[in-house]
Amino acid sequence: MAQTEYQRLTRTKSQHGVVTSARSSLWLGDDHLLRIDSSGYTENYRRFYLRDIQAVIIRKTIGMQIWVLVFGMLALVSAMFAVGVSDPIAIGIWWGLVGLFLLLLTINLLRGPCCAFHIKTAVQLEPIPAITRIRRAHQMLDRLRPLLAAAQGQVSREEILARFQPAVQAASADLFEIREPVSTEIPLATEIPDPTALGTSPESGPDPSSAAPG
Amino acid sequence: MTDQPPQCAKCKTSFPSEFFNSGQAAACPGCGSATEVEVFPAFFREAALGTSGEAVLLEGEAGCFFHPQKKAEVHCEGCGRFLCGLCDCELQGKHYCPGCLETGRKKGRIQNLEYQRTLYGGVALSLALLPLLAWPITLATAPIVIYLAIRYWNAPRSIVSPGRWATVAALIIALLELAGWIAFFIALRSS
Repeated sequence: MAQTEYQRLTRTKSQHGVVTSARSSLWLGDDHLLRIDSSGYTENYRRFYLRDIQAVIIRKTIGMQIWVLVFGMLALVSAMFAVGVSDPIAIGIWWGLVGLFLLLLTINLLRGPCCAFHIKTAVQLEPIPAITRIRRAHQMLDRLRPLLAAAQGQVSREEILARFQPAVQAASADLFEIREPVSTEIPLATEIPDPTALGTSPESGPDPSSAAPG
Repeated sequence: MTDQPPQCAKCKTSFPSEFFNSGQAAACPGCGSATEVEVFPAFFREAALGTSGEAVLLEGEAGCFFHPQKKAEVHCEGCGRFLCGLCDCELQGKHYCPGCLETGRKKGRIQNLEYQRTLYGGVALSLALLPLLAWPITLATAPIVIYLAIRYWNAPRSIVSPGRWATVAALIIALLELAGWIAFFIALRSS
């Protein structure tokens, strides 16, 4: 069978947002997207066929704020060391580090807010770790839209809303349904009726009316 | 169509319909994360039902290789056997029997069924470079690298960058390490 030619969609990114050996990237094949998770020694493939992609979900995360905090703190600490030392070479090194961290902070700010990008199919909701910035996610979506339209056709937003209304209402009703409260209290032993004494009083003994006369 | 509307990947709350294809982010009703949802027509497509194969009604009609009482509908493009609707596995417009599909997956003949590959070039390169940190080990690892490079020369490489540069680099480094050891032993013997 002919080998599929793949077109790179994203750069290879470390997974989990830190420098690890696990790296992920996204590629475009003839009729599918290919997510490659690589450890350097193995490659794992996950295919998303264009005709099967049901939805794309972009969720904003606080990744950018975390990196701003990290680089800001590192720049601050380096600046404190730079002010504290007297050796001209050490001063140069520390101010160089301050400049480096400020540069990284600026790049991080320029790249914009972070996000988690998910692709939904009928059987899975899979993250795409290679897409971490909202701007990049929108570029990806703009690129995918015509491909998905060619594979699946197009529907207007009004039509989508009209089709979704019953499903959303059902989901909301299920979520906010008011049910009868169920008592979880354990009844006291004295409250439990004795099945052997039904119709009789423990103090009065057997029912006199039921006793045989004479 | 799927019963449930798309859910938040973080809190699993179903998104309200105002979220869909609005082109802007809105706060998830469950976790408050700013979320944007784009829905495509595949969401409304009914799942295709499988067929069980029609029974052979007329004498002389070709039957399925695996179910002779069922009418053959297509032939397997791997082995040529006749297949009924039940045995027909369609992949990218081609028809295969379950056996050929499994064989193709195992042997890597059907690329779209592969879900993992071992990158022997990367393994060999790491085995050639990392022992340099504790260089006496290279006496043992260099021959292993040469064995790996030769043994897996034709093994499938990365699906997107099928070059052999890692294997070639590992082979060169291992040969240099071995040459170094040979030079070392010759110098040791002559002294």
